[in-house]
Amino acid sequence: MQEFKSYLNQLSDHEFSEVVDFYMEYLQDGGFETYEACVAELGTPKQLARKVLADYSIRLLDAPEKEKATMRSRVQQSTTQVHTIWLIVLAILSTPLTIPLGIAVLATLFAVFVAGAAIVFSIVVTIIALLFAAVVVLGIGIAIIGQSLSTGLFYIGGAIASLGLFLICVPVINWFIRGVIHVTLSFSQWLYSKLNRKNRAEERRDQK
Amino acid sequence: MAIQVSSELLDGCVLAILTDQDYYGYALTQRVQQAIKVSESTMYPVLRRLKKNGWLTTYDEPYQGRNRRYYQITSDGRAHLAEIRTDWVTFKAGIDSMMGDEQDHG
Repeated sequence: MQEFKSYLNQLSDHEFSEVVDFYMEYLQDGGFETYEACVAELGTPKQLARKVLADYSIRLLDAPEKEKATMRSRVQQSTTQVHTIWLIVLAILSTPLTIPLGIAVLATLFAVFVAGAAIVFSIVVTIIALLFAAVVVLGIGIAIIGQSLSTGLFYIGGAIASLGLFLICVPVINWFIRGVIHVTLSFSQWLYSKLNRKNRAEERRDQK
Repeated sequence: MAIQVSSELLDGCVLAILTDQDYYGYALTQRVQQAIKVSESTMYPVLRRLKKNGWLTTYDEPYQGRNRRYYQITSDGRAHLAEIRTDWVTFKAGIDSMMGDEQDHG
């Protein structure tokens, strides 16, 4: 139980005591007194804690829009989403799975994350390159404006135009990156629910 | 049985169980598990959601030197249960019309 508590430190105080009370009472009522009996019923403290945290984050995301809006700004929301993806990965990692299924799931997850990260990364690199190029061209334009007014103006104009283009693109890119994160999150939520179904069935089969 | 029970249905089942009497966490979990296959860690999120929506309330009662948290359905909960029941009847009829078997056990 101590161990379980130590894994739950991310929850708010109120939430924390509710969860702990619930499982404490559950174990006492069920007469699970030894550590082994508790683990047999609920899994190791780590597994249980990860399940609780994953469920908790999913629930937060499922909360109605208006509630979400008051809870945090959009940027924070993206951070929370990334955080949730991470929790789901941990939850999946800590659930006992048959090896082939486990490998398949991990491979799929890994592929999706790499793809998502690659897309985000390439966009960021493109932006930085564009920005850099624009700044360099601006510098060149200013440098040679003394020698040739028309060439200098041409460079400066080009640079300012691409900076403008960049500024127009920023919200679009921002939206796109958020979309990628969101899709990745939905996918891992879906995978998590699929896995959970498998697990419950397996657990019950083993007990009967 | 590998059909996953949706959270709506779990809400309905728990609320229906609570219409008979108040339950505490462990007994409630046992009661649900007699009928369908759910893992122990599924129940907490369900109860929390129901409470948050005002469909049930909790009260503590001392038991052997500690507290037991009992869950009690509210009138909102009863109304919500009626809604879920209606949805379920419609849903069940739909599935039965396609999958209902020859023995016709209802």
